[in-house]
Amino acid sequence: MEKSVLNISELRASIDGKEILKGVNLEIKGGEIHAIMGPNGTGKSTLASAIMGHPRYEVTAGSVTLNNEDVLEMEVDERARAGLFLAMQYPSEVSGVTNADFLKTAMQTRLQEGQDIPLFKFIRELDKNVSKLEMDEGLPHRYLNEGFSGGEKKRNEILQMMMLKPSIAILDEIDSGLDIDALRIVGEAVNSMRSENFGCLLITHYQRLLDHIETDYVHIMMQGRIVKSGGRELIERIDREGYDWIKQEVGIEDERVIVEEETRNVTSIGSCATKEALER
Amino acid sequence: MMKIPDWITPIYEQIKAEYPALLLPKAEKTNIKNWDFESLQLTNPIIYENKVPDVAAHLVDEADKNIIVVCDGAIVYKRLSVDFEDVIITTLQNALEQHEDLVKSYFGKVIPFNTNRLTALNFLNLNSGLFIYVPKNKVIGTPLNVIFIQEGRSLLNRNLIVANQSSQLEYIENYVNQSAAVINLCTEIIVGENAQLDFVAMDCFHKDVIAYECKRSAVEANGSLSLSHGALSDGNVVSENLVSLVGSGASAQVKSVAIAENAQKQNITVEVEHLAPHTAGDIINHGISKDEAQLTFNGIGRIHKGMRGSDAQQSSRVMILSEKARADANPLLLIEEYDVSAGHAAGVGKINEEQLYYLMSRGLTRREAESLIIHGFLMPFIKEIKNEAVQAEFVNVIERKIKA
Repeated sequence: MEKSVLNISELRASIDGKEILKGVNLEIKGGEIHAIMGPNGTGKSTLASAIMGHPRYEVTAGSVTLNNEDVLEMEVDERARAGLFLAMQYPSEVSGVTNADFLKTAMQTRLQEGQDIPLFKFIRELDKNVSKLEMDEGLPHRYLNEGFSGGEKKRNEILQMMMLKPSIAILDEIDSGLDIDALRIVGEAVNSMRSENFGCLLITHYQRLLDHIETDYVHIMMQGRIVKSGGRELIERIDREGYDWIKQEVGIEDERVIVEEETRNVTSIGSCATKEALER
Repeated sequence: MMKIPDWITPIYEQIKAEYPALLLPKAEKTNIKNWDFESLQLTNPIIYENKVPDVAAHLVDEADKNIIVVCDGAIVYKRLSVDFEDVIITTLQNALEQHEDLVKSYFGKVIPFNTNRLTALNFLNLNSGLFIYVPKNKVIGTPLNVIFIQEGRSLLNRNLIVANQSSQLEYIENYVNQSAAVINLCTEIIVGENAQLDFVAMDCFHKDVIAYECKRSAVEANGSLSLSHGALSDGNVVSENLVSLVGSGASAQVKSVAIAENAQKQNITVEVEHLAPHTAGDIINHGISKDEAQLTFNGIGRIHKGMRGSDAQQSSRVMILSEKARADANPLLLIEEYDVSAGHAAGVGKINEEQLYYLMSRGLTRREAESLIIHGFLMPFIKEIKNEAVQAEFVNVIERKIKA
């Protein structure tokens, strides 16, 4: 099978009319693990959301293709079925739907009409992965992310990734909210998925995750663009010196994408416990 | 029309005299002044001979141990296991005649006949009803499934259900009809000291039905009531529910689920009043409003002075699925005592876009994702239905109403 290729070219994207991505270029192939590093406010999460098709982000220019198919033309669910996966920074909670049922439904939609997920096989694989991620056994039967701690939610994202087996996975700040042990477990899980058929883009907040994952390519994002790319040695240098040397090299003073604060109007939702009501 | 035994006659005459001056109940936020609750058709009941009519067949499972089917006021089918020996289950008509002493102490006490115009109307034209009396200490291990069918004439039904001290009963009632009709249901429930009653009620009325439902319960010391109501009708409904916690340690949980579609209007009021200390009440209302329907949930938690140590909780949430649909979630906490706890949550909104995006990002189509979210939203109620056939019916009706 040919290696998957996710190609992002001159991508520009805005939210609420404000441009965040200012021409991102990146190519991720099966078998490769890429990391995007950079200080806060530089557009990293926006990149992940724009690729996956979050409704609030508007792509204004550029292209994203997966195996030469136009991703931007696809609906969110089509992108997922085409092989993309996004482990979110803030996973939603959906009450009333169990983790197991949800996973099974998601796996089922990838099959043809009439094909069914064999239940026993599914349960065995699920249990195996739950235990690999050292998650609580009962978790699959709880409602989707409901009442999960931050760390549990992140691990649930990885669990989903392991079960759904995407061709290209984007992990958006999977490391924030994880303690040392959880970090190691997640790192091992990502390493175990390494294969010619799997490409991964790690958007990191802290460098520590990269201690556990063998990263092939490192990119630095500033002001909504990738300003520098390289190998592991970049990580080590940033660890020692921070980002200033890069800013100097590229001629940037402030690495953030400047977004003006809107004045927020105070809204009153009204009062619910009033003295008048007592006099009914 | 029911035959009125002598002991009822004076009460009947009194209510008849009071009736003209009585007013319609107040359905907060819904104008029911022009709803025709009073054009009654009181003749021509449909009579079935000892069988489950086809219209109710899907609600009955061969494996069910306890089933009663009432059609236009008459019990047409009855199957009860030994779990129900010692339990009085009979038509109200029969009860008024043959269990006068028992009935007298409860009948009209929880819902006084002159409470409003419609409860009086119900009493004056009563043509259907059940009396269920569970004796002290009787714990019944299998649920009772009761199906009320309205077919030939307007249904004015009054049920009186008494669970005596330390008894336990699981009760499910379904109301079924398939054509235009006026339906007026009053249900009086008494949960004795330390008794436990699980009450599940579902109505699926035709779109040309005007229905009034009044359900009132009194829960005595350490008694516990779990009331679940599935408002799945296609017609216009006013539903009033009051649970009075009258003894220390009493508790009640009231869950309601409603789906309003097309042009229907549903107004559901649930009130839990704390008339004793250390009582706990929890109201959960989940609803869906679509097309041009109007759905209103009024939740009231009332703690009277001196009822310290009590807790009144409520949560009303309605999902709106289309532009013109309307929904109201009105919470109200009336608290007259300091040493208590209370809380409420009320929300009306569209399906959460973030949740949709999250589910779709895993490959589910938009429809599948919406369906999953809605299903999850209604789950708290689905879990309460401990009868497979009824649960399956509930899920079927939801799918039908959501997909339409």
